[in-house]
Amino acid sequence: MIARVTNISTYDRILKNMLYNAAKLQDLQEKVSSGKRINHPSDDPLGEIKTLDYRTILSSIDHYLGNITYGKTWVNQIDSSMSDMGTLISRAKSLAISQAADTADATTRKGTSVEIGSLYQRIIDLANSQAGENYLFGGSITNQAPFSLDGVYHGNNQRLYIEAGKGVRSEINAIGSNFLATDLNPAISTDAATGGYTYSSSDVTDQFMIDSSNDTLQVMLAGDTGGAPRDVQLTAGGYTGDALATHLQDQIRLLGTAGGVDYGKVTVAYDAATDHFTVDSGDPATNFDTFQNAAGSSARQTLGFSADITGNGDTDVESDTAVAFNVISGVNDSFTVAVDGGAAHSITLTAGTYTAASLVTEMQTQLNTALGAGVVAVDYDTSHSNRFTLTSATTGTTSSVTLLPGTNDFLRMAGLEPDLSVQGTTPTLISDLNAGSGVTLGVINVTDRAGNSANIDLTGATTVADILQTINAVAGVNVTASLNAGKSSIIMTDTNAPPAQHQNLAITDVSGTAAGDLGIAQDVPGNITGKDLDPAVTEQTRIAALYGGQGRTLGLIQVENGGVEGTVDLSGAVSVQDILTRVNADSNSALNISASVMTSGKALDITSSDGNTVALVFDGDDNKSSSALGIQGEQDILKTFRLLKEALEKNDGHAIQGILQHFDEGLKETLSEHAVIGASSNKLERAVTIQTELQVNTAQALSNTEDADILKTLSDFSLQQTALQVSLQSAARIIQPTLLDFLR
Amino acid sequence: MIGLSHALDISKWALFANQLAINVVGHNIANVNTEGYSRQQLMLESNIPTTYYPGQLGSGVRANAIKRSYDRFLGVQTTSELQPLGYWEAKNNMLKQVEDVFNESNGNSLNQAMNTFWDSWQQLADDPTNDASRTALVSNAQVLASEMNHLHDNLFQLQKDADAQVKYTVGQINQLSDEIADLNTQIAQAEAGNQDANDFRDQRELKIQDLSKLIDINYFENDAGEVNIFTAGGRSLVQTVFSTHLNVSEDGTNHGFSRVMWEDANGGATDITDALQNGKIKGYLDTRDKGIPDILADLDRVAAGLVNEVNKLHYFGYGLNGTTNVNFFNPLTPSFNQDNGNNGDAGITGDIYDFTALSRDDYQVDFQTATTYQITNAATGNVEGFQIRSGSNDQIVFDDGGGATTITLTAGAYTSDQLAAEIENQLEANSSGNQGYTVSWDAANQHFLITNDAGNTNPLTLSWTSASSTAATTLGFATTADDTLTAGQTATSDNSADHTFQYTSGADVFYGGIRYRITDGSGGGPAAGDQFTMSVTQDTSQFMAVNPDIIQDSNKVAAAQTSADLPGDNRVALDLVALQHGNVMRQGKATIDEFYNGLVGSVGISSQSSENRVNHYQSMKEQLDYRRDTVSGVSLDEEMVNLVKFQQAFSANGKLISAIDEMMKDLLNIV
Repeated sequence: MIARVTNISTYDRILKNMLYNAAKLQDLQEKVSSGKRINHPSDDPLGEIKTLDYRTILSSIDHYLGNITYGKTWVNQIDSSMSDMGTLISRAKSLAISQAADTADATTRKGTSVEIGSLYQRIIDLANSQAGENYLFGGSITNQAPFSLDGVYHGNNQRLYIEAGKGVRSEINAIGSNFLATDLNPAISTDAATGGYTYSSSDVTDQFMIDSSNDTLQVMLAGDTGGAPRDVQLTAGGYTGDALATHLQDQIRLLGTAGGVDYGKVTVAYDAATDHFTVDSGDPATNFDTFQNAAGSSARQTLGFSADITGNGDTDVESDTAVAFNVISGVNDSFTVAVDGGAAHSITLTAGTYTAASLVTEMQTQLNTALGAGVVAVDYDTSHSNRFTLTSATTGTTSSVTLLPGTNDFLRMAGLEPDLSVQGTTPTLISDLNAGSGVTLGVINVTDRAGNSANIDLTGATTVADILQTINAVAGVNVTASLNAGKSSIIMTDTNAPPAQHQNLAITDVSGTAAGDLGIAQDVPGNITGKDLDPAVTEQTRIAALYGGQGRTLGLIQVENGGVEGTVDLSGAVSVQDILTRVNADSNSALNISASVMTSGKALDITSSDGNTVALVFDGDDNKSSSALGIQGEQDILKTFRLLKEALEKNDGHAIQGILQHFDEGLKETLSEHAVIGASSNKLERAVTIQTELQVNTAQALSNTEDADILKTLSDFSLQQTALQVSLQSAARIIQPTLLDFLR
Repeated sequence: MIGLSHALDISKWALFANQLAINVVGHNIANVNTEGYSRQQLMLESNIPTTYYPGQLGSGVRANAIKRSYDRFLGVQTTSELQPLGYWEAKNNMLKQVEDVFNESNGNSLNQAMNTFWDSWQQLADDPTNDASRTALVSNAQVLASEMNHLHDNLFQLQKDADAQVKYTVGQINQLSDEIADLNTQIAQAEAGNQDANDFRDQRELKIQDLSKLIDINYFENDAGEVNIFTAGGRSLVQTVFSTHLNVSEDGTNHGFSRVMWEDANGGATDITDALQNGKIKGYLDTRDKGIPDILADLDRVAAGLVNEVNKLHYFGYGLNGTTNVNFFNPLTPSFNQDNGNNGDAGITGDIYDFTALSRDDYQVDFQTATTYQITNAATGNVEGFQIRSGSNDQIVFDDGGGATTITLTAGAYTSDQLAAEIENQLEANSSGNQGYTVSWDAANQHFLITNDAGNTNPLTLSWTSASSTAATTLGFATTADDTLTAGQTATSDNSADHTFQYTSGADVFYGGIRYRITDGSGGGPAAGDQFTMSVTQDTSQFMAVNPDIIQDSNKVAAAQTSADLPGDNRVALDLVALQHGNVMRQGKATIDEFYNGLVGSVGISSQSSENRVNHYQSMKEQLDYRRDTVSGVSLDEEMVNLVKFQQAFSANGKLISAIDEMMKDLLNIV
C-alpha cells in the first residue's frame, strides 16, 4: 500500500534534507576557509591528539635549534681562542729555541723576555675571552674573568651543557684548569690527625758494614786435599746484601782450583725476603764442607751464621738468622733526636747484629730510656720499600720528629735522612674553608623531621671533622652529619623512620653564621646538602684528597737548577707537608731549591734559592708528579711562560734549554682540550642536521593530520553546492502543484 | 405521513451533514500546518430507516461523530524515543560548548602555553645569567597559570549554565504538567458527554511529547480520558486533574547547585535527582555532576602535576643570588571531604606535610567498622598502606647467624614501599654478619618480597611461627611456617596483607605526604560504611599561580644545582626541561603532555559520540514523525477533493430541496 503523502510530511522531508545539505556545505566551507581538517576535537579526536603532539615537538625543535645556535657561538669562540693560543705557544717555543743557543747573550735574552711578557699577556686575554657576557674558560663561573694577570685560576671545573635534542646534551665550555693553570681542588679530609714521623727516603741500603773486625773467614770444599780451610778476605766497606753476596763469591772464586777442588764454581746468593745468605759449592757432587770465622774475626756472625760449620754433608750452607743490620760500636751506633721541638737527645744503640724487627725493639728501648716511655714509637714498614718510622705520640701540626746525624753512620745504615723533620698533619681546618675565608662559628639549631629540636654549639671546633663529630654526638635530634661523595660539602641526613618524618628538616643560625657559611641553613622535606666548601690547599692537605678526592700516585721528580741535577722521591708522601719536607731536605741542598704552597692556594711551587738561576722541575716517571702537583709541567702553560721570562731575564741558558720540554708538554695538553671542543662542535653540527630533518618530517606529519586537502575539499564543496541546488530545485517543484491550481 | 416532507427532511439533514462535513474539511485545511494536529473526519452514517411499504425507507444521512486519524502506538513509540533524544541533545549542547572551551584548533590554548613554558626553561638553561630569559620564563609561567585558571573558570561556568538549564527545565516541566492537568479536565468534561475531544487530545498529546523530551515519564490513560503521568520511581507529575510540581533546592556540598525535589502528598520534599533517568533534565544533570566534573578533575591533575613536579625540582635549586628553598608555583592545597551518605558524625581535616612525597592520587578512607578503616587509592583501585602499632604488630623475629633477633618497627603509617624500606633497614642494621637484604612491595601482585642477597654466607630465617613476630599477619606471611632463605632466595608473603588502620579520634596520621585527622563530631564517631576522601589535586587548576616572590624577583628562579657553581650552573634548568618528557602522571606511565592531550582527545570523543547519538535519535524521531504524518497529516489535495465532494453533495441536496419545493408548489397548485 502506498503511504499517504501529506503536506506536512512533504515539507518536513524537504526541510530536513535542505538543512542537512546546508550544514554539510557549511562544514566544508569551514574546512576550506580555515585550511584545517580538524576544527573541533570532535571532528577527529585521535587526530587531534596527534596534532597536539606534533605541535609540541615542533615547538621544542625550534628551541633546540636555538640552543644549538647559542652553543655554537660559545664553541666557535673557544675554538678560535684556542687556535690563537696554540700559535702563541709555538711562537714562544721558537723564541726559546733561538735564545737557548749559544749565540744568544744577556742582551738578546732580555729583549726576548719582554716579548715573552707580551705573549703571556695575550694568552691571558685569550683565556678570558667571552661570548656575550659570559666567560668561556672558567667552568660554571661565567660572570668573572677566570684568569688574573698573575696566572691564578678563579674558575671551577664544571662543564656546562645545553640540550641539543631530546635527552642529548652537548658540552659548550672549556675548563682553564685542564691546561693553563693547575687547580688542585682538594676534597675535605676528616682523617685523624697524625703524629710527626720520620721515614727513610729510600730503600734501606748498606746494611752490612765490613771492617777489620769481620773481614776474614775460612771456607773449605769437601775433597780439598789441602786439609785446612782456606782464608777468604773481604774488602772493608758498606754493602747491600746482594753486593756482599757478589763480593764474597768473587773472593772465594779467587782461590781458583786448590787442593784438587775447583773453588771457581762456588756461588753466593742473598735472599732479600728472608735476609739469608746461601753459599753453594757449585757442583752437585761436591759438599761445602767448612764455613767458619778466621781467628779473631766475626765475619760469620755478620753473615748470619749462628755457629761455625764444619763437616757439612750438603752441597750448600745457608745462614740461620736473618741479619739485616750490624751495629758496630763507634762506627754506626748513635744519632740525635728531638721530639715536638724539644731538646735534642743523643741515642746510642747496643752493638750487635739485628734483624729489622730486633733493631726496632732496640731503638725503642733506647729512645724510651732517653725520652721516657710512650713519647716516640718506632716501627718498620715493610709495605713501603723497607722504611723505619718514628712517630711522635702527640698529633697535629705541633707534633714533629727531628733527626740529626750524631757522630756516626747509623742514620745512613738505617736509611734515615738526617735533618729530616716531619710535622704531624691535621684534618681539614675550618679556617681553610671557603678558599681561606673560613666559617664564623656559633650555635646552630637543628630541627629534625620528627620535630625534635636541639641547639648545637660549634664554637671550639677547629676542623671539619670536629663539626661532624659534634653534630653526631648530640642526643635528642636524629640527624647524621657526613660529607658528600665528592667530599666537598656537608650533608645532613634525617634518620627517623618514615612514619616519624612529619615535617621539614630545618637548620638555622642561633649565633654566628656557621649554618649559612656551610650552606646548610635550609628548610626542606628531605636531606640538606650544604654548599661546596672549597678548602684551600695547605700543608695539611692530604695527597689522597687532591682533585676532589681522586688523589694522585706520586713518584720521582727531576730537578735541574743552575746546572745541578737531582731527583726527589715523593712516593708515599701522605700530605703536602711531606712533600715540602722532602724537597726542602738537607740532602737536596746541592739543588738549592725551596718548595712551598703557592699563595693562590691552588698548586705547589719549587723555586730556585739562587737569584741567578731558574729551577726546572720535570716528571721523573710515569706518575707525572710534577704536573700532578702543579709544580711545573703539562697543564701549567702560564707558569711555563713565566719561567721562560724569568730564565731570559736571569740569563740562565740551562733553564731556557730545559723549558722547551715544558712547551712541548703544554702544546699537547692544549691540543687535547681543543679536541674536546672539536668533538662538541661536531656533535652540534650533527644535532642541527638531525633536528632539521625531524622538523621537516614532523611538519609533514602535522600537515597530513591537520590540514585539509584543499583540492579534495574544494571539489567536495562544489559537489555539495550542486547537491544543495538540486535539492532546492526539486523541493520547489514538489511543493508547488496542488489541486487548487486546477480547480476553476 | 411519509411524503415530501420526509424527502425535505432528508434533504435538510443532508444539507446539515454536508455543511458539517465541509466545516470539518475547513477545519482540516485551516490546520494543515498545525503541529500535532490529527486530521479529522466526519463519520457519516445513514439515518435509521423507517419501516414503510414496500420496504425500509432510508431517512437520509446522519453525522455520527467526528473522529481523528491517530495511531496510538506511534504516539507511545515517539514519546519513548524522545526521552533519550532530549537527554543526548542536552548533553551534546553542553559538550559542544566544552569543546569550544578547549579550543586547541587555532593553537592558542593550553597546549601552546605549556609548549612555551617548557621552551622558556630551555632558553634559561642556555644562559642562566640572562635577565631577559628569566623575565620571559616568569611571564610565560604566569600565562600558563592564567590559561589554566581560565580553562577552569570556563568549564565551571558551563557547569553553572547546565545548572541554570536544570532550573529552567524544571520550570518548563511544571508548566507542562499544569497544562496537561488542565487539558485532562477539559477532555474529561468534554468526553463526559460521550464525545471525542479531538483537538484537546491533539494538544495534550503534543504536550506529553514535549514533556517526555524533558524528563523520563510513564503514562497511561484512565477510563475518564485523563492521562496520569509518572516520573522517576513512580512519582506522579499529573494525576487525574491535579499536577504535582518539582522544585529545586540548593546543595551546599556541590557549589550550591540544584537538587531536583518532588513534593509529596504531605507537603514534604523528596530528592529525586538520582532517580531521574532520561530526558533533557538528566542530560544537564549528568553533564553538571559527572561530565564536566570529570574533565575538571583531569584538568586539576594536569595542573597539580605541573605545580608539584616543578616545585620538587625548583625547591632544591639555587637562584642567581644563592637563594634556595623557593617554590616556583604556589604549592598544592589539599581538600578533605566526608561523604554525604555517612551515617556517623565524624569530620576530617588535614594538610600537606611533605610535598616531595605526594603521589597526587586521590585517597578514600573506608570505615569497615566504627573503629577500623582502610585506605584505598582512587586512581589504582587498590587498598594500600600499613599501620604499625606499637606493641601490636611491630615486631619481627629473625636469625641470620647471631641467634634469634627481634626488630621493632617504628610505629606509624607507612606506604607499602616505605614499609618495605623500613624492614630492609632494620634487618640490615641488626644483621649479625652485616649481611645485605632486599625487601620490596610487589604492587602488581600485592605482596612483600624479602630476599637474602646473593653472596651472603649465612642463611636468613624469618621466624613467622614465633609468637613474637607480631607483624607477620599484617605483612601477609602465614604463621604456620618459618621462611629460611639461603643466599639469593626470596620469601613471598602468601596471604593478603592486612591494611587495616585503627581509628583514634583526633590523632594525626601521616601518610604519603599528607597529614590527616579524623575527629568524632558532637553526635558521635564514624559508623561502619562511612567514607572520607582526600585529594591534593582538587581545584588546583582554579588557583594555580606563580609564586609572588618569583614574580617580584626573577633572580630567585633556580637554575643552578649547587651554589658553588653559580652563575653558569644550569643543571636544575636542564632537569626542568627534561620534566616535559618525564613520566609523572598515571603512576609513572604518562607525561604531562600526553595526559593533557589525552584529555582533549577524550573530550573530542565524547562530543563526537554524543553528536552521533543525537543524530541517531533524531533520525528515529523523524521516521516516526513521517509515519505519523502519513496517518494523521492533512493532505490539501485530499481535502480539496473532499471539498468538491461535499460541495457537490450539498449542491445536489440543494437541488433536491428546490425540486421538492417545486413539487410542493405543484401540489399546492393542484388544490
